[in-house]
Amino acid sequence: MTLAKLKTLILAAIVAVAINSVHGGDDPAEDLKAAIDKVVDILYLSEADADVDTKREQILNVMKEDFSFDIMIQSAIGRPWLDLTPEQRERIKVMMTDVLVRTFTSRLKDSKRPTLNYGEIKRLSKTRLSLPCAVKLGDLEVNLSYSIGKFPTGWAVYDILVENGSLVANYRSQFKTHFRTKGVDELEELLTKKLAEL
Amino acid sequence: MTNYTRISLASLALAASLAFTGGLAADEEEEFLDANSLFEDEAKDLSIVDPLRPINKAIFNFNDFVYLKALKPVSKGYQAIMPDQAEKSVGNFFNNLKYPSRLVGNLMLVKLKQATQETGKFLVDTTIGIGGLLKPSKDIDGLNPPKEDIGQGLASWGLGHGFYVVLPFSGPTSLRDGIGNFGDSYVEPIPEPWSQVDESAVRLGLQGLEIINDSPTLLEAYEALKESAIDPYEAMKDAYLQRRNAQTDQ
Repeated sequence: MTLAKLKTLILAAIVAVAINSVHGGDDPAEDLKAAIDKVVDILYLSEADADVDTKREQILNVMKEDFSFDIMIQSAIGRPWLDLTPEQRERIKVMMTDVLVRTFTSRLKDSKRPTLNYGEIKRLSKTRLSLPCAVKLGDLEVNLSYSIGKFPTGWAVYDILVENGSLVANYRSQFKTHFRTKGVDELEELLTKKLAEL
Repeated sequence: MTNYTRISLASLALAASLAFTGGLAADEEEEFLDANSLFEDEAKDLSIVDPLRPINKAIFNFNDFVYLKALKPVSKGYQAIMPDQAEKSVGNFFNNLKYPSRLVGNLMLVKLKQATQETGKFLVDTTIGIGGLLKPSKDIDGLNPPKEDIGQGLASWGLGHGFYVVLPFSGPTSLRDGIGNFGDSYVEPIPEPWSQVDESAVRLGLQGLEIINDSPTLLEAYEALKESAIDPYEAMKDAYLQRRNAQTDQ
C-alpha cells in the first residue's frame, strides 16, 4: 500500500501554475487558487472518469489555452536565455512543459485527491507576492509557496518553493552546468531524448 | 574642512541624488517586474565546491542502480504486504530512537526549550506510545519542535559545508554534514560504534528494516526528481544544499 504520493502532490502544484488565469485579474491570489484547483480537479478525476492519457490530454489542452511557464523557464535557464533565438526559446518552452506534464501524469493511477490549505498572501513589494500553500494527503504534508510577480503581461508565478527549496534555482543549477560546456542544440537533444523515455 | 571630508560629503551628496533619482525611476518602473530582472536572482543561488565530482558521479550512478534495481523491488514487496498503519508504526519507532541526536543537535544550538520539548516528546512517545510505535505527542502542543541534528549544530558554530560528497547507498552529503552524521551514529542506540544492540545480525536487520520502511517515500521523491531533471546529479546536489540550508536557517 502506498503511504504517500509525494511526487504527484508536488508536481500537481508545479503544473498548476502553467495555467495563466492569473493574468489580468484583480486578485492574483484568488485567480491562482482557482487555477490550481482546476488542474488538481483534472488530475484526481477517478479512473472511471478519465484514464491517464485522457487526463494528460485534458491538462495539455487547458495549458494550450493560456500558457505561462515562460517566465519560470526563462528564469531557470538564466542569462543563456538572452542568446537563444525566438524559435529556440519556443521549442525549449514546449519541451520543458511536456517533460513536467509527462513526469507527473505517468503515475496518477489510484491517487487520492490532496487537500490544499492556502495561507495568507504576503505582499513583498508592489510587484511581488507570495502565497503559501500546504498540500496534505493523509499524514503527509508538503509546504509550498508560490512567488507571484506583476509583469507587463499580468500577474504570473515566477517560482515555487517546495519546503523552502526553490524549484527555479534547482533547474538553474542544472542549466548552468549544461551551458558551461554545451550549447542549446545539445539541450534540445537532451530534452527530446528525455521525452522519448517518459 | 579637510579634502577627505569634502570628498566624502560630495560623494554622499552624489549618492543621495542618485538614490533619489533611482527612487523615482524605481517608483515609475516598479509598476511591473521585468522578467530579465529575475536573472539577478542567480546571485542568491547556493553553491558548493565539488572537487570529487568524477568519483561522486560514479557513486551517484551506482546508488541510482541500487535504488531502482535492488531497493525498489524490495520496497514494492514490502508495501504490498505491510498495512499502512504498520508501516507508520515502524517509522515512528525508528524516528523515536533518533531522539539522542536531536537532543545533542538542540544542545549544540543552545536551543534549550526545544531540547526540553524533544525530551518530553520522547518520554510521551516511549511510554504512552508503547515504545515509540505510536506518536501521541503529535497532538500535544509544544511537543513538536523542529528536528535538529549534529550537522545543524556544527553549522551554527560557523562551520561551512566544506565540499560535496556522495556516499555509497546513503547519497548526498557534505564534509560537515558527513561528520555530523558520524556524530549522530555515536549517540543513537542502533548504529555502531556504540550500538546498544549486541547481536550484529539483529542490528543489521533493524537497520535494513528502517531503510526499507522509509524507502517508498524516499524512492518516490528520488524518482520524481530524477525524471523531471535535465541533469539529475546537479538537481540532487542543489536539492540537498537547499534543504540543508533551509534547516540550518530555521
